[in-house]
Amino acid sequence: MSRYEILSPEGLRTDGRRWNEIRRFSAKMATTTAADGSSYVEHGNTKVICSVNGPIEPRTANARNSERVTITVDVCFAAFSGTDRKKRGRGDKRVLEMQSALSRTFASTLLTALHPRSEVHVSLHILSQDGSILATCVNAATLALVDAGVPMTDYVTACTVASYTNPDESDEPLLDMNSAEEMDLPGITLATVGRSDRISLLQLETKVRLERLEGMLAVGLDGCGKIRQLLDEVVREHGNEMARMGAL
Amino acid sequence: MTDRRRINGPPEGTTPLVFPSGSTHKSMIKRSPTTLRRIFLKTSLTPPATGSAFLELPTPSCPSTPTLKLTTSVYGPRPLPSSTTFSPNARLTAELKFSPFSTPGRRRGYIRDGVERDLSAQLSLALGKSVDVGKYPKSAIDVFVSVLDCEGGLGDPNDVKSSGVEVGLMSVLAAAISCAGAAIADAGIECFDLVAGGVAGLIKKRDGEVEGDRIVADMGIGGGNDDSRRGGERDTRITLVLDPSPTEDYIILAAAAVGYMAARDELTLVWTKGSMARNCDGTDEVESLIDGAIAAATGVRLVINEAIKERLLLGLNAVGLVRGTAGGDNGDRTVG
Amino acid sequence: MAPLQTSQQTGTPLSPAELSYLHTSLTLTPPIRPDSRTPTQFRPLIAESDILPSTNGSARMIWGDGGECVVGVKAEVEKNSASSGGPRDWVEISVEVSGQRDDDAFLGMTVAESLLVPESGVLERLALGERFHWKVFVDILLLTPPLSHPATLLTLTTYLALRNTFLPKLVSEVAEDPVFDDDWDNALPLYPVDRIAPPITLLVVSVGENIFFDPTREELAAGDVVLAVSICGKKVVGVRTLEGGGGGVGRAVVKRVIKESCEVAEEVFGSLNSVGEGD
Repeated sequence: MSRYEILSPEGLRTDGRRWNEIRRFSAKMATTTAADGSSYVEHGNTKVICSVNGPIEPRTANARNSERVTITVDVCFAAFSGTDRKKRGRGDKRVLEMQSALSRTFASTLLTALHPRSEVHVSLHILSQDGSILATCVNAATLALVDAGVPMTDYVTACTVASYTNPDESDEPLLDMNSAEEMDLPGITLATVGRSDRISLLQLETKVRLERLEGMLAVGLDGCGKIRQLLDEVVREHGNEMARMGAL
Repeated sequence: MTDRRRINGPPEGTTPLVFPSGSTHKSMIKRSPTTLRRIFLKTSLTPPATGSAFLELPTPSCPSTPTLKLTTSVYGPRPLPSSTTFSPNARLTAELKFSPFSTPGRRRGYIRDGVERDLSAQLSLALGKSVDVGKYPKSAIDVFVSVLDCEGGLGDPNDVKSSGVEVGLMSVLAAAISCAGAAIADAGIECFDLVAGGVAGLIKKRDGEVEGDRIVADMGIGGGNDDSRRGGERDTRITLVLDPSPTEDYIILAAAAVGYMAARDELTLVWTKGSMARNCDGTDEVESLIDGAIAAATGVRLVINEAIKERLLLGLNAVGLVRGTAGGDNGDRTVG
Repeated sequence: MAPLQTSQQTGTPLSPAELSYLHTSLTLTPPIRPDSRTPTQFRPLIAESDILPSTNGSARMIWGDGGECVVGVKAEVEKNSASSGGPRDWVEISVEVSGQRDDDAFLGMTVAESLLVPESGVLERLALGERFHWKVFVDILLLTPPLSHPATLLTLTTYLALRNTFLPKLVSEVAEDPVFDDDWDNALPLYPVDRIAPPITLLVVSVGENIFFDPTREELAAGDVVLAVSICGKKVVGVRTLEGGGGGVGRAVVKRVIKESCEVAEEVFGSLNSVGEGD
């Protein structure tokens, strides 16, 4: 049991949510004109800016593949994003891991064969971190890729699920962890493709009992579906806005 | 049995060496606010370079005086490497490097830091505007300045005793501009004009300090021998000083460095630090500072002229074009 | 030497003929700018302040040409130590340009020089009793560098962020370990309105007799001289020459540029201070 209650006896979490509720989610598309596609996603207090350039000519030789497009991802934690100021260098292990996870996730969803010998560059800036960072990055990148018009099969949406142990040893999955929950509880990050239950990213960094995993996945799939709806609304609204402005 | 695996100390005791720990700031030469320090400048000292110059400031009267010494070598114009794209103008790059032993107290690393990059960029800016780059298409001109000794330090946080503006870097930049200007002329590269660097500062006497014999706060005659009582009367006044050197007794409120082409009356570089207000009598502190720095640069320009003339006459003499002695004056000059 | 060279050579996309045309149209009276702005008019920009809850102060600015900058200011309590260089070390500035390997020396220096100007009164506000002080980190993140020089964008955003920087109120005595008021509403501004103002840097280009503010990249290339003038309140706190233009300029031009910058800066301060009041 941690110092404070993650889940009160009434079933409310520290920020007042129930177990299956996600935090306030807001997203914007096309925030800057400098990139082909861009987005800004706020998930609770986690805030991420994403810009996508591509398909472009590969900037480095090893991003050139004659069969398919290469997806390069740059993740950058702003020094002021956490509670304490901390500068993460480019070679930071966690950053590298996130970059490769993101690039592999999107490689499976984008229609990579359409643009051989080219590169799609995704650059993510984390301005404020409060848990579920990787999931927010996935959602931001999806929106920016849609904005950039990179061909893809469907939305990739992600969320996190924690596994909470009640005092009576029964377990309860908690959807969408904030940083306090992330610190104390084991949790997974999962991303699904579109409306299907196909999982394209599943990350578990701590240990969790095997029989609990299924419950967590079920809650996570549900959460991804919710986020997909939210993203879809954002995209449709942006599309309508563009149509009104006469861009289409 | 001696331990042969280690380097042992001497068998009998030694007395430790004691270095006299005199303050380097004490033995400064008195001068009036408008007097520049004496400059030593000589060109063509590095044979492999196309042009080179050495500058020393001030010419030391005694070995403990802090000095500013730097050498410049100019290479080019030489062809750009074939990999680079076509350029209709000469590409001038300047690189300023501090020697590891140049700063007092602490050794400096070899890796280029922000200060060096910043000064290099400003230096190439100041020089680039004086060179007729259009005359040399597809070529590169490289200027290398290495600072051998930089008087009072460079505003490393550990050296800062005053709360004022750090003027050391500006002196280095101004000296580098003058030295590089002379070296470019020595290299025979076509210029619009010689560029000289000058620094001026606004200073105020530090309160509570008595021993203020260095800069006499008198704008009048350049005598510089005022007694401390008279200096004390005026210490509340803010004074404009040309070519300020690192001080302990004075706070430098603001400073300006310029790159100046005296014959064309044009500036190639302006760099100021510190806050400058508009005075109530309508004069602008920024303007007077820039004018001061220009005056300093004009003085330095005379030294550059002499140094280049001396080398030229020496060369002409060698081929027998000019008879007689050349360069009796070895480049030293003070401007009153 | 490589980064220097690239920064110097990423010149203009303009041919000599285009440059000469632009130069002529800029020297006319009245001058004609390619985007039909007046000489002192800035390009449209979007600014928002106080956007990040985990910082003491923050701001974001987006320019019409796509330049985007986020500044976060964070303050931490630090013990006074004999080895550090005193108040000068209490403010740390870092500029990170997205996609560039190392920090930009020039931008960092410009901001640091104008921020750490002596006697601005800010460093005194950071002292916490006898043994502690605030250490302020100003992290400037240039998400997408604008097409023109980023100095103006960067410092305007920094100004907004610093304007909105608040430090918790100290409730303990001078000799004690610092204890702070929990109520964020009682926090004290780092730069109190009407007393101290953070500096801004304006980029000014002079062409012939005309002076232009907020120049585009093309205008920078066609100009005679490009100056970055830092202004804090009514005082000039720094002038620097930037690359661009050829040949030197007379001293009268430089003085006129500085004078006009002061006038324009007052307007800029006015409009920046109104950011955030509207919503």
